[in-house]
Amino acid sequence: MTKKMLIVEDEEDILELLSTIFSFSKEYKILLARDGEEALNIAQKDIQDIIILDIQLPKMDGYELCQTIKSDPTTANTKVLMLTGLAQDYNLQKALEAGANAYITKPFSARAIVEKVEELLNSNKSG
Amino acid sequence: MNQSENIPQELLTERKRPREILFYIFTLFILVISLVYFILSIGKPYMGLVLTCDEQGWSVSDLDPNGLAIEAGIIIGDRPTEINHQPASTFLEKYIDSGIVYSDSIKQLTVINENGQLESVSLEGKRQSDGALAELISLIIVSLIFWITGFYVFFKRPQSITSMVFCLCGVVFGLAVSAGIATDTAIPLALLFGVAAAIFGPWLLLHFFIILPEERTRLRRNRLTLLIYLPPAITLILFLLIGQANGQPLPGFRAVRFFVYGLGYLAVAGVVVYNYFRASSAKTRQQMKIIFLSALMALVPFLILYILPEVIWKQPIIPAGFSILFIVFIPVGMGYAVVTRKLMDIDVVIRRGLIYGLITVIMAGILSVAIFFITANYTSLGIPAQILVALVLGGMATALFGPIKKWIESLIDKLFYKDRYDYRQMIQSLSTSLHSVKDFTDVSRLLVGTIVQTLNLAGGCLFISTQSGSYEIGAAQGTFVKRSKQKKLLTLISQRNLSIEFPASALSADPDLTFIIPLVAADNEVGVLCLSEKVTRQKFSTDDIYLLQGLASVAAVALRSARLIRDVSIRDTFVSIASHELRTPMTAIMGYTELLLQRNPPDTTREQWLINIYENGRKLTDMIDDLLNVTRIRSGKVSMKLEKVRLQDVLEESLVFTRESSDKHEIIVEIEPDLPAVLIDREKFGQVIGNLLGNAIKYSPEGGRITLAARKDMEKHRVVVSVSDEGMGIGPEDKDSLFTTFHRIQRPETQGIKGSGLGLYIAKEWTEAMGGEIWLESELNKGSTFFVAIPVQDS
Repeated sequence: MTKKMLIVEDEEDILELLSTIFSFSKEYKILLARDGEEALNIAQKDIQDIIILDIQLPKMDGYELCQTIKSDPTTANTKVLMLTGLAQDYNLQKALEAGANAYITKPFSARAIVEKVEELLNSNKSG
Repeated sequence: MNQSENIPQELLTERKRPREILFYIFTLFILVISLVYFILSIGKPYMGLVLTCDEQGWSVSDLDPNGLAIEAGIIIGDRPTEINHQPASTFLEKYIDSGIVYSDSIKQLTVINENGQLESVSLEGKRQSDGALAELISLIIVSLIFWITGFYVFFKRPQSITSMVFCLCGVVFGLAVSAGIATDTAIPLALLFGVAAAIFGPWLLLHFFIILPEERTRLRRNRLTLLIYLPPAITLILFLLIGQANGQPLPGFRAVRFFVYGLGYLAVAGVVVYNYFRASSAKTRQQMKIIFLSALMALVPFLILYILPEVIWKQPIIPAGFSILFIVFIPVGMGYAVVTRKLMDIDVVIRRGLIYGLITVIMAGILSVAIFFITANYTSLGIPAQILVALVLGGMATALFGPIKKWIESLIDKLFYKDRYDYRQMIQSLSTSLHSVKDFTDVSRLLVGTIVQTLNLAGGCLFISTQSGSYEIGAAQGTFVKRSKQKKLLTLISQRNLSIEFPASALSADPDLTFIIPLVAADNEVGVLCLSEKVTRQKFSTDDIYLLQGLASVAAVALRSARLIRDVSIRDTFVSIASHELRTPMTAIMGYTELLLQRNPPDTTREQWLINIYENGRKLTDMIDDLLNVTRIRSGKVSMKLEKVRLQDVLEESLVFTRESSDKHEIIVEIEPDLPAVLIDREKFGQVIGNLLGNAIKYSPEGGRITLAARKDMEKHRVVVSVSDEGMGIGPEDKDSLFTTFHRIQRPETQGIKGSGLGLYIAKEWTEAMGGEIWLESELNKGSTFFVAIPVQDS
């Protein structure tokens, strides 16, 4: 069964890279967003299984978007994987406080992010 | 090159010359007319009466105290029977419409009084009365003072429009007075000149007060200001067309004339009051105060010695001719207020004057009492002994004078100035305020603001020591707000020596500067405080110096803490931004490399992935370069390879890169031909312009117009390159910190626009290292223009 995946990233190169990485697997139906508001719009209209979310975004940052999604009962079950270039502890702590299910810091390997996503989606299945 | 430099200056001189020549001709013309009128009026008698017509016929309605009519015994109410050797009715026929006749057309007059007696007077063979002569001389003296002050001010500052208007006020006053006298003695055209001068006088004065304040420099060049001359011009035209008959003004027109004077003087009073209460500079308020006091010194004696006694006892204490002499205080006060760069504090002058008066009275009292007792008890003293006693007493009084004067002065100063605060409390309250302010800029502003306000200074400026040993501006107030002034101070404190450091005075180094105070904490100089003199021009007392020492210690500690906090915050920002900006391209490089290794994509995809790797590699290199450049700048290790360069070439190279990076903007190039050569580091200057062009593209909407221009500014001996865009513009809150490290404009529109926040900081530091200057002009939502000025390299 295909999983719905929303990738939110304002850096065009990274957005393209992520969509390429996940496009090799036929398991994902991928949607792309370049800012926080666009992402929230998509996530609320069409409930996603997982969102790969950058932190520094135009219009609404990743923390706020994550918090909004997690506090809305209709979208609360969507898994959120935070993607961050801000590697300090307090940034990661903030990501978890906002409700992110996991985070991965840039730069990441393609294999690591694929595994992380699968792990999150499988934990949903078992849970 | 030299030729091209000379052209604008010559043009400038050419432009100025006709205006000045016109001014000279005009003022000299007025001056000559006034002198002629004065000279012709000397010794010439005049009748000095007014005849008006009522229901009972013509009668004398007004008399000049210095005219021949009053001397001959004519009084108000007498009826004319014969004028200029013809029956009065025949002479007065042509004046029936206006109902009024001024005596300038009357050479001979016979009247009949209410007792039926005839009185006759004729100008023939008569000399001017002593009163009239005295009045004339007084007026000549007053006019002379007006002229001398006017021309002195003008020659002192011939380029200033304010001086020109002031000089005109002086000559026009002289014309009004001389023509007024000449009208009485029936000298041709005097009436016309008199009316014109009297009508324009108040409006000239209004013009003067509008443009006088130093903050209205622009208004001086604005031709719309000349619109204030419309009411007097219209009035004068009306006078020529319908306001006069038989060589004398019609009564109706006199009312109009008075209305226009009144309006002019009311406007003058309004502007003076406005200047005093609303003008931002302390100097303007001082000027208004001095002018107001000089007007009081002129008018109060006139009121007390002439007008009031005349109204109460029908007899002035001194004649009008003499009381008018007090008017000289007006031009002298105004001239002083215009010419003097540093005005005296009139409050202090008056207060001190009162104190000295008081001391003199006390001393005289003591001396008199002493002499009284000595002479009473020792009457046997001979004259030489009495002189000796007087000398000894005089010496004692002089010895006492100094300390008593000092004591009274300090008492007065305490009452008027220092009772507002207690110094210790002042330092404590500053410390408390500093606890609640953490931002480095706020700390700087609070320090300067408190010191300037507490000591009532004209200005203060705080320079912060940077790690590289140079200084940057922290905060400035009052006279030091101007950037040009700050630059001067910066040069001064960078090259200063101990002889002008606090508590020594720095006046010799700069006339606006009183103290240069190094702020030292933990054996390191954290900043330098530059202070001007007091607004009141009082000297700094010992207490002031103690207070300054206390404030400087608090300031040094506060600055050091604020700087530490700022450094930590900058380091955090640096780590955060560097982390993000370096990791993002690294992610792309690693990700695509991994894909290339794991997958076997078609050739086109492979090529695209390789391009992505290359592009991100370049971004990474740029970012690392920026970070290294900032590190070099901060450690003072910027090396410039200065060479003589044709600016066109560098600008064209920058344009090639810009055009390659964006085809979505319209790029306009306006580079003046024959730009002089400049001495720059070609590569770094190219990067500065490239950075500005890059920003213009980043912050402009697609299709927006970007203009790269370069022009000569021969007045300042430099070339100015500018980059303009039609983008979102920069608000005042960002303008000051735009050229600092890691400053990014935080607005909804800027989210998503990438950048390290280092480019403009580097651009500024590099431009200044090349001897240039960088600044910006911007309006929100309309666009920005960044200017880079580089000095011209002399051939």
